[in-house]
Amino acid sequence: MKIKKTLGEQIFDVFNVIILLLLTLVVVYPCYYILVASVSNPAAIYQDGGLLLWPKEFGMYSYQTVFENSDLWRSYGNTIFYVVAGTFLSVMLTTSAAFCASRKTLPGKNIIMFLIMFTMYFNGGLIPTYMVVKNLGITDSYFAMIIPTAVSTYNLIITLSYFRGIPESMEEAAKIDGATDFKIFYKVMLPLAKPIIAVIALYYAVAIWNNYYTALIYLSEEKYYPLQSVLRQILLTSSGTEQDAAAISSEADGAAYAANIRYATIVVSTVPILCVYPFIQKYFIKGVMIGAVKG
Amino acid sequence: MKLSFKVLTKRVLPAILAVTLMATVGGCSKKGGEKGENVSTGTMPKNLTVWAPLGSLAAKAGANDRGDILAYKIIEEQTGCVIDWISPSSAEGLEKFNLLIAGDKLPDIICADVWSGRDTYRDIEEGLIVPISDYLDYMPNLKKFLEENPDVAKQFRNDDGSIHYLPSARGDEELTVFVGPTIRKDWLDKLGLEMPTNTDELYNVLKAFKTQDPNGNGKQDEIAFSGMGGDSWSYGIGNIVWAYDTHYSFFVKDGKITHGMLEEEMKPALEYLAKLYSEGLIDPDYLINDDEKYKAKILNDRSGFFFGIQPSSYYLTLNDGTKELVGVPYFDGKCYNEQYLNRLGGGQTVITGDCKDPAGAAMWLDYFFSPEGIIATNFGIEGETHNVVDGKRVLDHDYVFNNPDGLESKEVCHSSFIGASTDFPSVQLWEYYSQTLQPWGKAAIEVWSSSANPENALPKLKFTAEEKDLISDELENINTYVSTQFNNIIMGRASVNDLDKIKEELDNLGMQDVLKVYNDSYVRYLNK
Amino acid sequence: MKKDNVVLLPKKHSLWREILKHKSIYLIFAPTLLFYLIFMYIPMFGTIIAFQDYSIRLGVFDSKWVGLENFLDFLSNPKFFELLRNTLVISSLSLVIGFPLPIVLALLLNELSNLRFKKFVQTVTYMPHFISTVVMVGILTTFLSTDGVINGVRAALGLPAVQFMTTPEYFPWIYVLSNIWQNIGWSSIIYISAIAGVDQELYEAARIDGANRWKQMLYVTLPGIASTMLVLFIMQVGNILSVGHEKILLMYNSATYETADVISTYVYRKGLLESDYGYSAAVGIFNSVCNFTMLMLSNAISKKVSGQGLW
Repeated sequence: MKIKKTLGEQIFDVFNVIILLLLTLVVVYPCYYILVASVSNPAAIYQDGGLLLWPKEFGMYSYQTVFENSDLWRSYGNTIFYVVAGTFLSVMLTTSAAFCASRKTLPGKNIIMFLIMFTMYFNGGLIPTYMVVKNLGITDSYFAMIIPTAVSTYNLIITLSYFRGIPESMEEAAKIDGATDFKIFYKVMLPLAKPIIAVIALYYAVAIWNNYYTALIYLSEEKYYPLQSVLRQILLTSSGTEQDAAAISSEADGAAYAANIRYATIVVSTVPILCVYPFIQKYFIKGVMIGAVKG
Repeated sequence: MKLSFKVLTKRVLPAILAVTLMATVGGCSKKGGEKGENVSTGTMPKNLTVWAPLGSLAAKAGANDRGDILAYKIIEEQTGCVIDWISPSSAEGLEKFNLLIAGDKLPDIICADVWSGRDTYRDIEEGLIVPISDYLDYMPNLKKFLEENPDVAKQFRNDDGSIHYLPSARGDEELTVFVGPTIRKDWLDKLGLEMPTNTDELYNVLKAFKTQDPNGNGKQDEIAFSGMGGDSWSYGIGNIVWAYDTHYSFFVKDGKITHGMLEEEMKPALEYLAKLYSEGLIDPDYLINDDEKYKAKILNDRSGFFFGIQPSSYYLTLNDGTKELVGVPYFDGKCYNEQYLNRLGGGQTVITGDCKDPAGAAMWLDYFFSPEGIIATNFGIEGETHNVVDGKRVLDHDYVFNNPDGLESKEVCHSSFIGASTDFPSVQLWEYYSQTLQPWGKAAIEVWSSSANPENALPKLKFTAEEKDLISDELENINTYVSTQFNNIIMGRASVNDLDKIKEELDNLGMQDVLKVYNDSYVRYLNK
Repeated sequence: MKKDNVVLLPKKHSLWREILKHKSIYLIFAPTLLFYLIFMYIPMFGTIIAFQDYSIRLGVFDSKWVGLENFLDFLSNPKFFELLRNTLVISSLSLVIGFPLPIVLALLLNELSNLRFKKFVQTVTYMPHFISTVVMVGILTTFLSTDGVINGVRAALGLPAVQFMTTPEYFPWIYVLSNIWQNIGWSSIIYISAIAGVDQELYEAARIDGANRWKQMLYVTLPGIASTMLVLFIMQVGNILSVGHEKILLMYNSATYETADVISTYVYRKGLLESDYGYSAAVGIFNSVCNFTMLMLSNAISKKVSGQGLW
């Protein structure tokens, strides 16, 4: 279905490509910078106004330090488990709740949504929440990284808004066939919601992937540590912020290669999660919704 | 779906609710009150639980908790008291500490860098800690140490003479000195200049550094005077105002505490700094230098003069024979650095209210101040980590500097001696510490400590809870305002003629209230 | 809101019947509601520490009550209005510049005909989101310092050096623009997915009606993602006082305090001086009440004007 483009449209296309290329260049540069800096001498990267185009005084010291840590691979495994299990649970809880809240006739849905919104702004803070988690007995367990942060209200709201945008006609046919609510949710609504599920799955996965704070609070046994905690430890260990006579403040003398290791930890922790994106992208192709309905 | 709606609403949900509610509320409400009957036997306890964060250097050397550090092992052997260590990473110490004290059961002893900032009278009232001074009878070595070192005692004793926590003490005055003015000696030599001894000579030196290309790369990229922040006691360029007998913060003048911004001396001092800045002698980016950028400028052969820290990695890199960094003697000995008076390390240790045998815990802590304890914490084991030569204890050079396990000297010290980390109750000795320094580091410290006369620097004052309450907002507002104006004048955004306006504004911000509280506390300090 | 319910219900005394009719919906809802109950509502009693001289050791039930003292402390601070102003300037700027740009990016991406290039741009623009704040600010200050690359370019053009990081007027701009730099790709994902959800038949219909691409974008794509835009806009308005402390702490310095010091950084600095949890909680509640009010307000306006809201 080739449609002939007008001259104006052609000019627009050219400009569009140029603009996006420039944007890509500007936006990707910090990533490239980190990659190059992680294998450079940390003092040398500040020469030439800080512009890094290729490694300066190349060395792999930072990656050696990161990879020689014996906890690294176990924590990688833990993180992958947390991300897979956590994302599954979170997406299930979020979509089911959004589905229910999108039922126009459900008694009390407005009150329930108000109460849910309320928690975005008012919460008990660290210690009361910690007490609850502790008394449920899930600190220092695999559940600690998954359950206490399972639902994000923000994600719930954008999912709800998506569900409410789905035309009612889509489910009426199923209702006439006598499908239960479970079936409507599972067979009709979920397939229709693929683009938004892809988005919130990505949001949840990235949040769990980057989450070290939950681990810091709820985990003290190292065998449960996620990748971010171990990387943070490597970083703290290598920066050696305390000094000999002067253990007074953070105005201390860090080890020379701390900066490199910081860059290296970003590379090590980011590459795998970047690989997830292309899988998500296929749900962003136009027409996915129609396809789902017809299929 | 076999689970019917009815069953769910009538049985399952209420059950879950009841359990969680009981669990959470039950876990929170019961605290304080239940004070176990204390068994004070007056003998060394068999075992204790001690919460103390583990520093990153010891962790890097392979320690999992403090029990893996050599000195603690020796003391465990010598006292016969087995310690159950709880050691979170020191970087996470504060979060873990808060969770710890929110919990039910406290360990016997807690070492953390929080107690000096807390209202420990209230902590005693709430049963969190017990006053250590109640158990002084079980601590003969500490008593002796306090008598022999009244200066140190003053810094952690409360104003009423009681003791709530034990510090890590710096046993010798040299140990308080680790930052100071630093210069590229090789640049001075190359340009045929003398070591500056006053601000005028310093100006000429900086001018020469800037204009005569001492690094010899043909570019005018030298930063004559570099630093990190204006008003910071370690690397701040503002520390040069000391030469004018003033300070950018509180200090002692004629036996009373005042603030430098209120004093006449600030005018010529800031004029001098503003002149240096306008002539490009001060790093124009001094306010945005972070640790890495500041160090990179030194390592990249650009910084000529700065306030530096010792021991430091850049000394190690630069002092390779071609370049030379040395300490600069303070001009006329004028130094207002509070750290030069600080004889305490960065951790404080308490006995908790849950400790069943506080007297025994006190006895164990006292051991660290005994002659045997001081040797163990500073030198480790005789014949292994150190030897006695001519009556002096000498660290085994190979053990520290050519470690058989391939550890860096810093890592060796932190995994062997408590004297290295200065947080657990102990007495750090210069005799130990100086042996862990490289020669140039030791030389710089000797230059600074022999030239500095910090008698007018602000001593460590204690404030009552009411006083703190009264001035905390004022102090925060004053500090940010002073910092802003101090740097604005240096950078030419405000002029020294604005100092009168600044004084007025400081009074509006409550400077007089703050000064009154400071002086009240200072009087108590002097009478201690 | 309660009124809506009553209106929706067919007849009185049938509420229970109506609930029973929806029992399977409630059953689907139950796990999430249980989550909110346990992890959000049970700990919520912790907010009352804002009215206490809170001691962690004594806990919520035994700490001393001080009424509104913590709130008054904050509101009577001479710096209060400066902090509020700085916070509002930064968040408004984020709203005005930061909100539309990801939408523009999503729309431009949607106009690309080369799928591979489209995927490439998407993937690449999303990457900087993963850079930690410390590193991002480090790169930023290196580039913007007087001997940094930006001033290097200016020098080559014969322009004088600019002190970007130590001039108070620039601070909000640098803060907001660098946020966009880092997050434009990430923020556009939600719009890209919303565009994917637009009914393709609408485009075909528009094409048959002779609409060019510009008109299609205006009359099909934009209305198709309007509800997403609205929801995100309302949520951002509901965050008007939430400017985080982490990045600002790394970016500001004595020279930029006057525009950079916001509520969260002030509370953070004060927290360093004394661990006053009651005070922090009080400031938190103040923020939340303002934010929540803004949210309810914008939601109500939105419902009135467009018939759509968050719920």
